[in-house]
Amino acid sequence: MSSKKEIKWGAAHIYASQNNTILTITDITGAEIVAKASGGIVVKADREKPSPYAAMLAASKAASDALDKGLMAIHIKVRAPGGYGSKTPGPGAQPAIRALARSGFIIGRIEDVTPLPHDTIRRPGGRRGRRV
Amino acid sequence: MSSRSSAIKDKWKMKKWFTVFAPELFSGVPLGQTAAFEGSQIIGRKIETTLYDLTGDFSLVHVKVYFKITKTDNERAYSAFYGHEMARDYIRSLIRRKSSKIQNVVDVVTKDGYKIRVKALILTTYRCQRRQKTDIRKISADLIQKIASESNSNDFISSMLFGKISNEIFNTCKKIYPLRNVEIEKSKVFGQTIISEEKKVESSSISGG
Repeated sequence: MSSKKEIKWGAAHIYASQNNTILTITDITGAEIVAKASGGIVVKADREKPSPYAAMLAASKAASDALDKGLMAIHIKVRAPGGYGSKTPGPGAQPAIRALARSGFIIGRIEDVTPLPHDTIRRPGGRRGRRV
Repeated sequence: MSSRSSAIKDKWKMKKWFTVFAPELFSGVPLGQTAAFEGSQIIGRKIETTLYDLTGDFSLVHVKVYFKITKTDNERAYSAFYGHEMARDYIRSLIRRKSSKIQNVVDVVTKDGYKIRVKALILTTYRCQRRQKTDIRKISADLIQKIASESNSNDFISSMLFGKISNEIFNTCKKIYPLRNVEIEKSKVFGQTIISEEKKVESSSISGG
């Protein structure tokens, strides 16, 4: 326990959807944001936002910010959209975790925190589907 | 742009780091650190740890424990037990086909007035009948109520987390139907009834859990 006292722990929340990857690095309470990044701020084209490469860049960007602010170790919480949406994390989750690990953080728990409904609500779009 | 980013950096440097300590029940172990401008801002923040981190017992790694910060003193913050939960993958690994799952949500009040919601999960060896399920549910609920009314919050919390309650449920209910596993899946503290209103946790926003 004594070694743990000196290490400043935080949590990395990774939201990996089909359309983007959003990273928020917080302290352990989750109330205080230390660094944030997303796939959308590192690439120009919208269709590249969810890509593994964008996730990797975003993760290393957020990680360097957090390391500057003195965080040393993180627990990782991955989530997919959940609810009525997809329950498996999108393509950005894996590379984001890897980039965080490689940037020098001590990694604690890795956990899936997708909000899973016991039953589910009706998908939006109505009876006749989404009409584009 | 550059001026804005420097302003944010300065703001961050003004923040102090508070060390959060677990309640005496868990021998006041430091849980981690949280940043804020002043102590009043961190009251009510929640911290999640596992029982493995608190006790060093690796068999308890799937129990997540939540603490809520109640009091600050200089750069030290003190927390109170707020609830616990089994890891989702652990519960998933217990639930199987051809056996019954009996879930039971009980609101209890401990001897010193803490209101706690306890969620028990009972798994049988084979599929059982509805009648047996109802009996098991009733008996286990009575048992949890009885234990709670006889013990202080600290005793109740430790017996809940370290499997004493689930053992007792197992031993009592196995007479009705052979059981495979009993776990206290989840709990939540709603506050203390006897002490003044302001200390009470606002239950309206969290009653959905």
